[in-house]
Amino acid sequence: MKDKLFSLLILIVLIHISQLYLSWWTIAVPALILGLIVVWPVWQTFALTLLAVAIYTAIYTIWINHINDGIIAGRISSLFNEIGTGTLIIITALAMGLLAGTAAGLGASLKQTIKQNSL
Amino acid sequence: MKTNLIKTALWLLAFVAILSILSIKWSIEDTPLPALGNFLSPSHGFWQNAESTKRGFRDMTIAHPSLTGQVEVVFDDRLVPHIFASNDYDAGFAQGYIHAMLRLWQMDISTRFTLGRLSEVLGDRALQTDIDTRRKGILWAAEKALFTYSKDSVTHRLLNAYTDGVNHYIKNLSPKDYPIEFKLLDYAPGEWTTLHSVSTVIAMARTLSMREYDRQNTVLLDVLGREYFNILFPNHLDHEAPVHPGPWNHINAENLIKEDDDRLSFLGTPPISKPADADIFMPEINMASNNWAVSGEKSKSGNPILCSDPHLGLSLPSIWIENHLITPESNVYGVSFTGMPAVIIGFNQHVAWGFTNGSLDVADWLKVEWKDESKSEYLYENNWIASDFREEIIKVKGQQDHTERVPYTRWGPVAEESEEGDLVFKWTAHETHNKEELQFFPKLNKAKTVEECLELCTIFPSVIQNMVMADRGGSIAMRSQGYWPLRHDYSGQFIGSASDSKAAWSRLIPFKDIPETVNPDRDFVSSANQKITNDEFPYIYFGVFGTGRGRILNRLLEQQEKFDIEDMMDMQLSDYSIGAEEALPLLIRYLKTDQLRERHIDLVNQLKAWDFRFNSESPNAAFYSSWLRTAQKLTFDEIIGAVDEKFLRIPSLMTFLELLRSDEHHHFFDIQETELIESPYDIVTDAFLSTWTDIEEAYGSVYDIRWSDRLQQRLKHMASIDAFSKSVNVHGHYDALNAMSTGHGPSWRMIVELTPDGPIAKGVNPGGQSGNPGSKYYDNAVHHWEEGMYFDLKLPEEPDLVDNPLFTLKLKQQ
Repeated sequence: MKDKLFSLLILIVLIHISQLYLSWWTIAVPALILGLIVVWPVWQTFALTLLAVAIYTAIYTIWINHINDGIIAGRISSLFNEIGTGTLIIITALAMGLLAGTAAGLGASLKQTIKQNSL
Repeated sequence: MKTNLIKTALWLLAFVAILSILSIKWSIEDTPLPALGNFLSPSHGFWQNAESTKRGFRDMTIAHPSLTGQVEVVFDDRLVPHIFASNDYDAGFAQGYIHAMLRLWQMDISTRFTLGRLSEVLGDRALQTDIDTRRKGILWAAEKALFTYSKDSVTHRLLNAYTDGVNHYIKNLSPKDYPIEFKLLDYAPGEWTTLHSVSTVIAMARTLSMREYDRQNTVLLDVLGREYFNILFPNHLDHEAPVHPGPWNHINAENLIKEDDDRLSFLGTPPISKPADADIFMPEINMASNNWAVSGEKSKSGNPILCSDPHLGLSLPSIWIENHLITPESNVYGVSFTGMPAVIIGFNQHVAWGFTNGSLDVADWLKVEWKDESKSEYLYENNWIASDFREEIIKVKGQQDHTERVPYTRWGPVAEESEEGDLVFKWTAHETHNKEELQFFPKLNKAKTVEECLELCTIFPSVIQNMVMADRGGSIAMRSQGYWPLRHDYSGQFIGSASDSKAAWSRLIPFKDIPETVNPDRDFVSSANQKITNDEFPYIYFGVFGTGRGRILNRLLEQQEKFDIEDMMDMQLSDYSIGAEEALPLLIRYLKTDQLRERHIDLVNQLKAWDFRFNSESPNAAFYSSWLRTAQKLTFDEIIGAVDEKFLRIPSLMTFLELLRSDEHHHFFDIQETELIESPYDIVTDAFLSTWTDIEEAYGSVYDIRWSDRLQQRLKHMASIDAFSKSVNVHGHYDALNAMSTGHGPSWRMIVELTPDGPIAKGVNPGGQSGNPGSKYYDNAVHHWEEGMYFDLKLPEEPDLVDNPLFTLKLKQQ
C-alpha cells in the first residue's frame, strides 16, 4: 500500500513539473510510464491513476478557486449554462484523471503484452 | 497472447478517444468552443486566468534596450499605474507595457476591428465586417496616416517606444498567461506595430465621425418629397442653445463659398444597396457626452471647475484606462485609449480638459459613373479619369484568403458595388493634414494655460471635438476643433454624384474660423453634442446633433449663481429629462379623456405629478417612454411602412413636438392603415391605451413596471460573451445629463477644480483597470459608477507619495 502511495505521489510530482513547462496533454506521459513500471493489475493501475490525478486536479483547482474568490470559475460556469463551480471542478478533475488513467491503463496493458510476448 | 493484444488495443482506443474528445474544438449552436483539454487544464487553461484576491502582487523589474533611464511604476489599490519616468519616451514604453499587461486582448480585438482583420481569428462570420472596413478605406487611411506621422521624428520615436513596450510584454508572455479571450477564441497575440497604435486614432474617427445618413436621407427624400423631408429632418433648430453663441463678425467673407444652386437634381434614383449588416463590435450611433467649465466668478471657491463625461459604448473591459504620468516636464492624470501613449482626457497641475463629439457629418457617399465594366475610368466633370485599384487581402481562419479589389477615385474608395450603382465613400479621416498630430496629446499633457491648449489645436487630429479647457489662472474655453469640411451646400446629406466636383468638400474650413469661445461673459462654457453654432455662423455644416441636454445643461448653469464640486456631481448624475418636461404636458393635452376610464385618469394624474426624473425604480418614466415611442411610431407610420428598416431614420423628439405644437391637422397624424383621418388626439389616446394594455399584459399592472425594465442597462463584454458582461441598475435617460441609453452611457466621469495649489479632482470609470474577467479589478469600479460615487484623483510627485500602493514595477535600460 505504501509503495503504491509513494508511486502515485511521484506520479503527481512529475505531472506537476511537466505541467509547468509542457503542454496540457503531457500529463499522459508520466501516467503511461507509471503503467509500464508498476506491477499492479491493469484495472487497478487505471483506477488509482485516475483517482490520484483527479484528486490532485481537484485540490489544485479548489486552491485556485479559493485564492480567486471564485471569480473566474463563476464566470466560466455561467458560460457553460450555469453548471456551477463544483461541477466545473469535477469536470476538470475527471477530464485530467481520465486522460492520465487511460494512459496508465494503456501502459500497464502494454507491459503485460510485452511480458507475455517475451516469455 | 491474442487476448492481451486486444486488451492493449482497447486501452489504446480508450486513451485516443479521451485525448480526441479533449483536443477537438467543439461548437454549440455555431459558437466555436476551444479544445476542452487545454481550456480546462489547471496549469494552462482558464484556471490560470484566476488572479489572486488574497496574495498581494509581487514587485517586478524588467529591462529593455530601448529605455533611456529607469522608470518606476507604482500601482495603487485600484490598479492605476503611476508612471515616474525621466522622459516621454520611457513613459511611452511603460504605458505600452502596462496597457498590454492589463488589456492585451482589448488592444488586439479593437485593432483587428479597425484594420479589418477580425476574420483572421474569428473565421468567416466576421468576413462581412472586415470587407466593409477595408472597402471604406479604413486600413488605407491608417497606413496613410502612419506614413505621414512617421515623418515627424518625435512622433516616430514615441510610437516606437510604446510599441516596444507592448511587444516586450507579449514576447515574455507564455500561452498559459494569455488573456482568457485568446484561449476561448483559440489564437495567440501577434506582434504589435506602430500601425496598430495609429489605428487607435482612426478607430475613434470611426466611432465618432462616421455619422451620416446619406443613404437613409436619399431614400427618405424620394419617399417624402423635399417639403416633408425638410419638416421632418430640419437643419435649423431655432430652440437649440448652441455650443458657441458667436458672434462671427471676425470671419472674412472671402473665405466662404457661397451656397451654390441646389444640386439635388443630380441625385436621380436612389441606389437601394443596403448599408452593411450591423458590425459585431460596432457601437451604435447614440452616444451622448457632456462637458462644461465654470470660471472662478461662478464657483463657490473662486477657482474654475471643469467637468467632462464622455458617453460611449459601455463595455467590459472599459473603453478607457486610467494612467498617471510623471516626467520632469509634466505631471498628468487621466484616461487613455489602450493602444496609444499619453493621456486623452485629464488634468495636470495647471490645466484640465475634456471632449464631447462635434457630431458633424463628415462622411459622404457619391455615386460613380464608369466608362465601362472594367471600372478603370470614371466620369468627373465631363472627363474620364483613370481609377486606381487596391487589393485588400483578408485572411480568414480555416479558409482561403479573401481578396477584394477596390477601385479608388479622387474622392476615395468605392466602398459599395451593386447592380443599382457603385458608391464612393469620402471621409475626413481618410486625410492626414499634419505630421505632428499625434504630438497633440503629449503636448497637451504638458500645457500650463488655456492659451497654450488653444495654440496646440493647430495640430489637432481629424475628429471634430468640442474641447473644454480650464486653467488655474482662471481662464476657461471651448473650441470645436477637427477637420471641418468646407461645404458648398446641404447636398452632402444625400448621395451625391462622383462626377460633380462640388459634390463633396475638397478643402477644410480655415483654422482661424473654427468656432471658439474664450472666457465668455456668462462665465461658463458648455457642450452636449448639440449644434455647434447658431445659424449666423457663415459656413455650411450639418450633422446629427443632440437637442435636449444642451439646453438643460445651460439652464442649470445659468440658474445657479455659484457651484462647487458637489453641485457638479449632482449635475453629471442628473436624471432629469428636458424631453419629458416638454413632451408629457403635450401628450396629456391631446388625451381624449372621454375615452379613458377612472383607472386611466388615476395614472394620468400620477404622471402629471411626475418630476420628469428617470429614476431606475420609476413606473412613470417607464410608462411615459413607452407611450411616447408608440405615439411617434403611429405618427411616422408613413416612413416606417414605406422604407426598408435599414433606411429608417426617425425624426427627433423635437421635430415630433414641433409638429404637435404647430399643426394638429398635419397629415402625418393620419394613420395610413385606417380609413378615418386621425388627429393627434387619436394618436396620443390610442398610444396611451395600447401602452397600458402592453404593460399590463407583461407586468401585471402599469404601476409594477420600472424604468430599469425598459432601459436594461448592461456593460457588455467586447466579444458579447454574456458571462463576462454585467447588468447594472442605473438612473438616467438619453436626454438627461446622466445620458443613459441601452449599451451607452457615461464612460468616464471627471470633475476637476483648479486651485492655485493644484487640482482637486474626482473621477470614476464604469469597469476597472484590468481586462481580465478573472481579476477583481475587472469590474471593481462598477458599483461606484452605478451608485454615482467618485474616486479622488491625485497627482503625487514622488513614488513614495502614492496612496495605498499595491506593487511596484521597475523598468530599466538593458
